[in-house]
Order: sequence, then C-alpha cells, then structure tokens
Amino acid sequence: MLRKWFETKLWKRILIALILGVIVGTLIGDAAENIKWIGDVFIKLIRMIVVPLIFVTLVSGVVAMGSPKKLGSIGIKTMALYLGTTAIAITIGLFLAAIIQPGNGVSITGGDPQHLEAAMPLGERMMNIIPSNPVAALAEGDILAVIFFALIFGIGIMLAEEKAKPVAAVMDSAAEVVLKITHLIMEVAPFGVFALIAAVAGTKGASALLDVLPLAATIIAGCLLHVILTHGGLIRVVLGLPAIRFFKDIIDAQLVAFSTSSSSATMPVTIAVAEDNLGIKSSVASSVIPLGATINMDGTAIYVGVVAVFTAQSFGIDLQLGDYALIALTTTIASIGTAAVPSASLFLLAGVLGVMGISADQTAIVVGFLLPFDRPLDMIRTTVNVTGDLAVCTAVATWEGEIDRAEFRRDPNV
Amino acid sequence: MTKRHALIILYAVIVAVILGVLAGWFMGPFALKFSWMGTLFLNALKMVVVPLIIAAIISGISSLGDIRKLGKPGSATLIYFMATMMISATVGMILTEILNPGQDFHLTSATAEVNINQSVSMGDVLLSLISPNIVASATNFEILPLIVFSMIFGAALTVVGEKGRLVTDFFESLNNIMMVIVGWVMFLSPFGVFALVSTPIAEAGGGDAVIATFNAVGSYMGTVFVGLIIQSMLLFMLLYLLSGRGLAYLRNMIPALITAMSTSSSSATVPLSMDCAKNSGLAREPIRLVIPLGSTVNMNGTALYQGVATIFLAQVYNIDIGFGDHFLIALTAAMAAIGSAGIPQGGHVMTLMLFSVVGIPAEGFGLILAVDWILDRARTTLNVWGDLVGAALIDRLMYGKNKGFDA
Repeated sequence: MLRKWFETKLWKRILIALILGVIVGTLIGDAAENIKWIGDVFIKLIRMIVVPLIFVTLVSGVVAMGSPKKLGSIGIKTMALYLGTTAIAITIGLFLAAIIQPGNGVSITGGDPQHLEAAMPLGERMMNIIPSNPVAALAEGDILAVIFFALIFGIGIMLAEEKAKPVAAVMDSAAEVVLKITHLIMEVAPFGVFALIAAVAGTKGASALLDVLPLAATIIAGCLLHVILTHGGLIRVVLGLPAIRFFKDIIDAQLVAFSTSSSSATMPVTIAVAEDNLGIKSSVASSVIPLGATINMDGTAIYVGVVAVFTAQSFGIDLQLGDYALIALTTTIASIGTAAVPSASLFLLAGVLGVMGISADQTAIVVGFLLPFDRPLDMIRTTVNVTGDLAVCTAVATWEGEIDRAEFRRDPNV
Repeated sequence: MTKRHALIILYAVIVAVILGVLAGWFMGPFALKFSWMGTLFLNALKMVVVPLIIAAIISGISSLGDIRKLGKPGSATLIYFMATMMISATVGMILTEILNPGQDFHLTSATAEVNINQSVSMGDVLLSLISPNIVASATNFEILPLIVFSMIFGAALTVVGEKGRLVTDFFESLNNIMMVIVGWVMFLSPFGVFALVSTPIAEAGGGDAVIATFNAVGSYMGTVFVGLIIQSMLLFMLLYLLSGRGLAYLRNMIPALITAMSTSSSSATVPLSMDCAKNSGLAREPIRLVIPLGSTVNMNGTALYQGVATIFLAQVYNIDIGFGDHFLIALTAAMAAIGSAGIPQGGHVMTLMLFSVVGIPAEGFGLILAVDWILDRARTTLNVWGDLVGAALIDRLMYGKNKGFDA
C-alpha cells in the first residue's frame, strides 16, 4: 500500500487528492473548515523554504552563468517575454469580454462596498527594491529586494573570481540542499491540496461560482485560450518543442498553484519542475522563475481585462478602441509595479478602473461584488501565472542553449 | 577600482557638494525632486554595511591566528579612542570658555520641541553590547552587538584553528565580495552626495532661511565649527608625527569624509572608509577592525560638540562650572559617546544625560536642536576622520614596520 503510494507519480497523487477534496468538501460542507489546518501546514512548509531558496539558487545561478554579459542577455529576454505575454493576455481578456458581454444587464450593487487602501506610489516601490539592509529583506520576505541583493551578490562573486571561491562553493551546495528540501515538502503536497480544496469547496461551495457565471465563464475561457494559444504556441511554434510534453511536465506546479493560489508559495515547486522535468539549467531557472513569480501575471491580466470591460458594461460606459488600448497598456505596466503587494490583482484592478474614469466609490462596489468568489478565480489566475512563468523560462532557456532536450522529452521523474 | 577611477570619483564628489549647496540654496523646491537619488545612495551603502562588517571583523580577527595577538593593538586602539575623545571634549570646552558665545544670548529665540524622555543607565549600555538574537540585531541594523558577536566568533575561529578553515575561508571571501560591491556603490556617490547635500538645505527653505537660522544661534554654531576644525588639525598632526602619513592620506580619504558629511551616519560610511583605507595601502587588520569599531564607539566630533553645547548652555543659564566639573564633563562625554552606540537616538539621550550632570534644564536642548541637522553632519565628518587617523596610527605602530609613507 505504502509502496504503491510512493510509486505513483506525484502529479497523479495530487490530482486524486484534488478530486477527493472537492467531493469531500461538498459533502461535509462547513465542517471542512476543520481540516483546513493540514493545508495551512503545507503552505507554511513551502513558505519556509521560499526565501532561502530564492537567495541561494539565484546567487549560485548567477555565478554559474559565468559572465555579467550572459546575465544581461537572459535578463532582457526574460523581461521582454514577460511583458509580451502579459500584453497578449490582457488583449485576450478584453477581446473575449467585448464579444461575450458578461456585464450587460447585470446589477452589481448587491455586494458590500470594499474600499482599498492606496498602494504605494511607483517611485517609492522602485526605491524599495534596493534593500537598505539585506538581512532585514530576508527576514521580511521582501522578494524583489532579495532578488536584487542576490543578483548584486552573485555578480560580486563572479568578479571577485578566485578570492570568492569558498562563498561560491557554499552557495552551490546550499542550493542543492534547499532543492532537496523542496522535494521532501512536495511529498506532503497531496494531503495539503486535499485539505485546501476541501475547505474551499466546503465553505464557499460550487454555488458561489453560479452567481457570476457569465463573468467567471469569460475569465475561464480567456485563461484556457491564453494557455493553449499563447503558452502552447510559444512552446510549439516558436520553440519547436512538443507542447503536450510541456504541459505534462509542469502539471505538478499547476496543481500546487491551483490549490495554494499563490505563485510565490508555488515557486519552490516551479523551480524544481523547471530543472528536473523540463531539463532547464539551474542558472536560468533560478533567475527567471523568481522574477516571474513576482512580476509576471498572465492570469491576473486576463482577469483584470475581463473585469474592466464587465464593469464598463454594467455601468453602461461605452468603451472606444482607444480605451481598450489604454487599459491594455496600464495593466501591462502596472503588473510590474504591483509586484510585491499582496492581493496584487485588486490593486491592479483598482488602478485600471481609475484610468477608465470610474470613481473610487464605484470601484469599491465592484470589488465588493467580486470578493466573495475571488478565491476560485484566484486559483485559476495563479495557475495561468505559473504556467506563464514556466513557458517563458523554457523559451529563455532554449534561446540561451541552457536546456536539456532529452530531459524535456523524458517522462517526469518527480 | 583603478587609481584613475578613484581620482575621477574624488573630483566628481567635490563638484557634487558644490552643485548640491548651490541647488539647495537657490532652487529650493526644485532641488527636492532629486532627493530620491540620496535615498538610493544611502540605501545602497547601508545594504553593504551589515554583511561587510560581519565578514570584515571575523576575517580580520581570525587572520591574527592567535587571539592573544589582539591584546596590544586592541588596547592601543581603545586608548586612542578614549584619549582623543577626551581631548576633543576639552578642546570644545576651552574654546567655548574663551569665545563665550552664550554671554549675550536671548533665550526666546529659536527653540525647538524636546521630546526625548528616556534615561539610560550604565547597565543598559553594557546590556546593549550582547544581543540575545544576532539575526534580529542584524535585521534591526544594531551594529555594536554585531561587532561584539563577530569578534567573539572570530576569536572562537582562531581557537578552532585548522578545523575551522572552511568557515575562515568563507568569511574571507565574503569580505572580498562585499568590497567588490562597495566599488560599484562608489560610482553612485557623486549623485547621492549631490542630493543629500541639496535636500536638507532646500527643506530648510533655501539659502535665506538657513542664514536666518544661523543668525539666531550663529555664535554657538561658529564655536562648534572652529572647534571641529581645531580638533581635525590636532588629529592631522598626530597622524603626521606618529604615522608619517600626511596630505596624500587626507586626499585619499576625501570621498569617505564627504560621504560622512552628506549622510551624517558613520556606520553608513564604513564601506567607503574601508575602501579608501585600502587604496591608501593600510594593512588588513586596521582596516577590518579599527574602522568598523571606530564607527560605533569613536566619536571625536560628538564629544567636541557635547563639550561646546554643555558650556554654552551653562553660560546661557548662568550656571557656574568649577574646574573639576570640566574634567567630569570630558570623561562623561567620552563615555557617553561609547555608550550611545547601542541605543537608538543615542546621541541625543547622552547629551541630555550630560546636561543633567551639570544641572542644565532639558529645555536648553531645544535651543540647539534647531541647527542640529547641520552640526550633525559636521561632527560626523570629524568622527570618521578620527577613525581613519586611528586606523593609520594602528597600522604604523603595530603592523607597518616598513611602509610608513604614502606610496
């Protein structure tokens, strides 16, 4: 029995747990709240490893690149792809919403208005990327600041050459250690996923989704389209790699993303999947993925696009072509800026609605309307975000020649 | 960093100060648009400080090989710190007695709110040396407990000897890496200095407002400035006579001194001080041990400032200070400088403590607080200069048998 359990592929175990979770949650209803702690333990385990994982893998990854030039070339490609896929995602969202018209005739005054606190101005956020104390950045889990310091530190090791050997060696072995720990934690994943999904299904119920079916359907359709066309297309058409293989390889990460609805909590799994299943060299995976987890938000962009149009339709605002372009541009740029903010999608949404000329009070009504069923949509968004990170990572690795194609084609070994 | 780069940065930083003063003086609010460059520079400096200090001290001590070798240079360093601070406070007091700036002072002008009501005992000072959680101290930027811990750690490493090789090498290489990063931060310094100089002037309301404030307590400020100049010249003579270094050393240190002046933080200046000292060819021990330690406990400028402030306020409030009291003030000022390192807003708390020793009412502090931002910068510069002179002296006396003169 136990042997059989460990012989089964991890993604199959997680998938079974997920389905069981939905069934059990629906059956026992609110009582599912009582087993949620198992899921919380899982999320805590993952969060425990995130900060050291990013720091040591990024430092050793940068050192492994061998020259600052290589880092620059990877950096530019990564940023261009992240921005590009996000722009496509929001376009898909806007386009679908304009065709399906989920907001026509919908009254959204039902929810309690929810006011958002003002997000930090962009300049200040940019300033905070440079940590005035790297130890504090690590302690507070300030991901962008940790990334920044790790990059600088890695380049420092690179340039100090021979004199920095011992530190480089420590970082390399520490990177191996944290990846091994990640694998151990993943063994808990099926139980965690089961509990998390049961709690959502039990307390929110599938009925929460029914209230806003047209909107949710539009968002889900957008996400599917984006994953199949943009991500699949990037892998198959641009890179010439088998797309089905790609999706099979990354299903672990997608399942964890779906159940935790947090791309930063999923990050250890994402990195493990990229290195072990997709065969991407750690120098690329450890630099592209953490950045993607904080700034790349394909799913969120689709969501914001659809909701923006939905809001306009339900308030009876007529959108012109220029408005659509403006929304797309704002979302793409703002998706970088909102990176480190928790529940980034709401801030992003508020920003975009503001650009459309929707007042703060109206924004509060929209957010209040959306919040009750935000969780299931958040799960979908996160899955798309993580898929996007992995697709971009694969593309960058392929262009840099840092991918092991045999490993990519092999069956997942996790 | 090459010699040519160092020279370019030296000139660029000097130009930045001049431009910064002009921008703050005449352009006012417009200059505030660049204040972010100052924050950026300060953050980048501070980013390096914690890992650098830990690595420098651990590798510095472990490279002694035997912890007993720390005894002589260590006590020499402490004696140097203590002696120069007492001299500094004395210079401040004598000067104030001679110039008598508090004589015709009008009590009503230019007072600021005083809202510091902490009191500090000797016990607090000693307790602040040892941190119960070293990572928490690093997170909160508490430098003194970090230094103490790193010293203990380094000492333990020398005892472990060969078995600790891996860790010794690790911190040695961490130190090298951080110094590479310091080299990059150096390139930001002209921009950072420009913003850090122009911002406070512009915030004070431009040149006219600054002059108005100066007029109110100008005699007092003048006394502090003259004192700072006298003390830095005394230190320079000490440098020249005992270590054989001179103007070339001073010139090499200008980027660090200007950074001290613009950031008014000795600990943020540590990375640049170490870099400048390295360029002057000091041995590794004085660079890695004297400079970080000096940045927290050696405060020539602060001691001098406290001497001047105490006598000045005693004159304002007509308090008689006896001959013995002067000695007490000098000693307290020196001790206070050491003690203030581990306490938040330590400088102010210690100044108040000093006032209470002599019997000056706390409101008196409000009088001099209005111009504190500019005096703080001036005395930080002297603090850093004191550390750098100390490093050169220890280098000459303890390590540099053959290389006393600037290359």
